[in-house]
Amino acid sequence: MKTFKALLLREHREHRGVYIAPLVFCALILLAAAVALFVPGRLQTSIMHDQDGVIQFHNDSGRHLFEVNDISLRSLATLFENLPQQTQGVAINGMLHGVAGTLLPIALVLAIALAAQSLFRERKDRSVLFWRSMPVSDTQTVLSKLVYIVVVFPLLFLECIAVTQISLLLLYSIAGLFFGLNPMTIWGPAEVLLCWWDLAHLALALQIFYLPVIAYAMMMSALSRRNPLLMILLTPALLLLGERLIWGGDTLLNLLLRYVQQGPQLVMGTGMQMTGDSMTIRYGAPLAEVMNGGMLIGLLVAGVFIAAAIQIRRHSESA
Amino acid sequence: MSVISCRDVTRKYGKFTALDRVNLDVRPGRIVGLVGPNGAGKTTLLKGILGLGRCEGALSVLGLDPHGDRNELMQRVCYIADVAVMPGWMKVCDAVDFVSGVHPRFDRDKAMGYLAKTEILPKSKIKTLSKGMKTQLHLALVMAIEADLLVLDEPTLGLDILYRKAFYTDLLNEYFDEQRTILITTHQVEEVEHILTDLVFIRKGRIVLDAEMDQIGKVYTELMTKSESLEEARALGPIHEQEVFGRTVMLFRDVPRERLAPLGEVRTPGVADLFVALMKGESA
Repeated sequence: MKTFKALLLREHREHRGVYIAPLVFCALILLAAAVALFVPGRLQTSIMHDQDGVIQFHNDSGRHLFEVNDISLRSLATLFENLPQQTQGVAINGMLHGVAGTLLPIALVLAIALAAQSLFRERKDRSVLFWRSMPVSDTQTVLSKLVYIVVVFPLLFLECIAVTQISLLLLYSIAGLFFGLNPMTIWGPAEVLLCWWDLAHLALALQIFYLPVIAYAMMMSALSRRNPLLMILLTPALLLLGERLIWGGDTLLNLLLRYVQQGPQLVMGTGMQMTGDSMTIRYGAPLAEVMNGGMLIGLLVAGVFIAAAIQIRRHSESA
Repeated sequence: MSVISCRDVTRKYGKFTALDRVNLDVRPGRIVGLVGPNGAGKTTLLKGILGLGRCEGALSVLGLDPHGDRNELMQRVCYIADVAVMPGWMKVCDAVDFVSGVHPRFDRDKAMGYLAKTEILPKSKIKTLSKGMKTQLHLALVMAIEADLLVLDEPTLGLDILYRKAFYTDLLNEYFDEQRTILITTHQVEEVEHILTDLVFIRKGRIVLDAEMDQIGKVYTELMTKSESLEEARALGPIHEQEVFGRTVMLFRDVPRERLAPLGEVRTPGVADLFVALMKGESA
């Protein structure tokens, strides 16, 4: 266990730089929010106003909720304070989930990029000789990289999302204070802990769903001599081309597309639930979705790729 | 029991034979120099010994199968390849943390003690260190491990002479004792010959010399031949002959010094001279 902990810590230290991307996105979101708050909303008005200059909000059953005809910050603050508590909750929690929804796909892309470099970089800089001079098996090394990518990295990424969400709430609170808005009007309906629980759940479900892709990227990373990313893309492309040229079919392509599309559906399909008057925002049960939907096949495929990655590293003489 | 035992160890890459029925025994408490030209099979043999590559034949290190028992083996064997292998993104203190986390025989305080004697700062990133400092760091990490066998593959490659001298001095003074064995491959044979107890030459995948340093002076003799004794010396069957400053220098094996002395100046050959002679000549 001590060895595995040291290996995970090593992964974390090696990939400190990868957190720059989410931090930049988080900073951009905060900046955009600050600009939207403190620069009077001409742009918003032109985008959102209907022909009469009135913004109308309806729920999904078409019931009229409220309308806005003055988009100045003071009027928005007053309007927000006078909204029913449940509607305030929808607005605040919608904002929290919106931030997460923007950043989660980035986490997945970064996870695949990490996997693509995981077993290639050590050979490129020849540090594999140093790592392999330690009493650590190839299985331990590869599994530590996998656990870091699939579990530790998304959790740390969620930390970035959480910091952004809290910063946004603080920003809105400070802005509200200028116009006499009680900060509790913002913090009260914010279901922050529930949101984080849901997000952790969702992130884990997505990682499990895309585990075969991550495992495949790791295998290619172990195999590649020059450009793992190119190999990751080129191999299935050649397979698809081969299928079309030899058998004239697109079965593989359709399977692949269906698989790739199911991930976002996992988020959106069971995603925010704003039903009737209840107005709560909760995700469905993404883990259960993943468990039901061919998870065993996915895990088996991922297991084969990971076993191959271990064997390739073990028998590689590029060291 | 031998620390390293090779019996008919062979390694082929397609049609190319990198190791050809290598037989070698390394006893405990020895410092063995494995010397050979590029492509001779040194690194292939080291890979086999370290379990980084499979070989045919019987190969055992510390009584273990290097490939099958690699994890167990690496608890007792340390390895320094060359200065390029330390991960540049790591900080010095992170490297110490890492080895401390994964190696049960690592003494953290010892490592920090060695590092304190250098100019290396714990918070420095490895990529910012000079080549010499990287080697010092690697050596500090390795010396803090209670290992039975230390394998050094061109450890001082690219270092200036000060670091090279310091490396071997530290190795002898701080690390080596009668319980430990060191296997060194290097091209700079002159620098290590004074610390070696055994010398192994490898050429085209075959061992052409395997001798204790003490024996080399008894077996091999160099003769700077007088011009009038040239033919007489040649008749004694030198294994190598070369012209140096207009005089002929010959290398003999198993020819008594008393027989050679009347023919010119007799002396014990240096490792470099012996290496050149054996690499050009026939197998010993």
